[in-house]
Amino acid sequence: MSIAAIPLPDPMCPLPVRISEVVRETHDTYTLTTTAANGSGLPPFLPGQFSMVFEFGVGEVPISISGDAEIPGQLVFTIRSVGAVTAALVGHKPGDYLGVRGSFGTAWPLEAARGQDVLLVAGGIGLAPLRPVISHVARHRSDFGRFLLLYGARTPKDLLFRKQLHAWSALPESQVLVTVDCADSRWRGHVGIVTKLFDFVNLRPERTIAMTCGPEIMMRFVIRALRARKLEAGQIYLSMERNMECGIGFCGHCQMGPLFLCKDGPIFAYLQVERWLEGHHEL
Amino acid sequence: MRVNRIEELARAAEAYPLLADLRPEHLAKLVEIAEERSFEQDEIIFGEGATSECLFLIASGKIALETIAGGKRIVIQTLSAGDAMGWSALTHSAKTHFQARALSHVQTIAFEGAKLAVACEYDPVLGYEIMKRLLALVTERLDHTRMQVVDMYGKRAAARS
Repeated sequence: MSIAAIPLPDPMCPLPVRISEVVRETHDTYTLTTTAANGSGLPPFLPGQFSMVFEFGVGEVPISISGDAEIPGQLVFTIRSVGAVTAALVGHKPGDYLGVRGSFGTAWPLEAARGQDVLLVAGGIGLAPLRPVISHVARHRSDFGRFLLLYGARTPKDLLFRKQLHAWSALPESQVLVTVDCADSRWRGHVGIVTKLFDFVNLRPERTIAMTCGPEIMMRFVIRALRARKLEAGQIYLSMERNMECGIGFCGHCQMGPLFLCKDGPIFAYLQVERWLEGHHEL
Repeated sequence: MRVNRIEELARAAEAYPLLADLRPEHLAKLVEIAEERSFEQDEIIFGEGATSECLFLIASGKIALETIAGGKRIVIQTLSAGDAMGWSALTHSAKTHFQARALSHVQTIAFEGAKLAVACEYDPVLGYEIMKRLLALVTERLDHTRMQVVDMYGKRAAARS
């Protein structure tokens, strides 16, 4: 389905949604599953898109959708508490209400990835926007080549979707590698930055699509590592984040050069943003 | 155990960035001073603050570099096959900054720092090649350390984005 084909409600009017489930992922990150408050259903979304999530009386923030795009009628958000709005959002219980605008933005290139090896490189909360891709690949496993997930977090207690990480590693022809920046001596896994995990995978650069999401500094190093392993710039996609406010390219808060991240992104081919990503530490 | 078969080390050289593309005559010199050393799981390979005696190339297994922070022993990096460890053995009277602990059975190729330094002094071309590779290794380690230090996944970074 093309993005243009998705029927959207009034993009500036929050749709009331009811929280049906709250899952504590880590000490500061929760996953909220929401359904339409009036029972009318929710518009579909594509993996990689985001919604503006409205906490009544507090404010609104852009949150990537982390649920399975093929489960209709629900929007799932994995939210890390980093400010006033997100702190309020993660404090909710099932049955509470929120407002949602969207879904907005571009999607991960799943059609282009068909028949290719799918390499995902995620850092921190950046795994959440990639989870719909993983759900899609898992559902349509035979449509894709090898599935590789490289995931980095600050510490073991910051790892998201722990049970699912195990499940994903059990998918056919898959490899899931996890690293943390720092750990206590009980941790038997890898310690180091996420690009170090490239040493443990055998990429087939001629047939790989790479998608990465995480802090910008991480993505810059990831792209360098991918290019060093002979991936062409056109094979690399990334999710960018900025201070999105309107979500539809009106306000300009998320502008980066000629691009509006909310409308032209958040998912970009690396070629689209290479100039800005490589040229500046702060865009 | 002495590593006495140059073919083995030459083959193995492909697996170690530190030895990659060295001339055969240079590899031969390194073979003369190389030793195989193994460590059992949880064995301390060297302690924090110890005199750095050997440069290790990890052939198999996994090693944790640890230090004390906030009263707790923490792992700041894990190393595995192909990685090098203990390059400060090439600098005179260096002390180790971290403790190295085997996380599994570990096999290494070890070069005694003093012998390696003599080999590099005796053959400056070899010395330059080794130093170039060590510099690349240290640069990579520095990059990684910087990224860990900035706490890129931290709340401040998340809030900025």
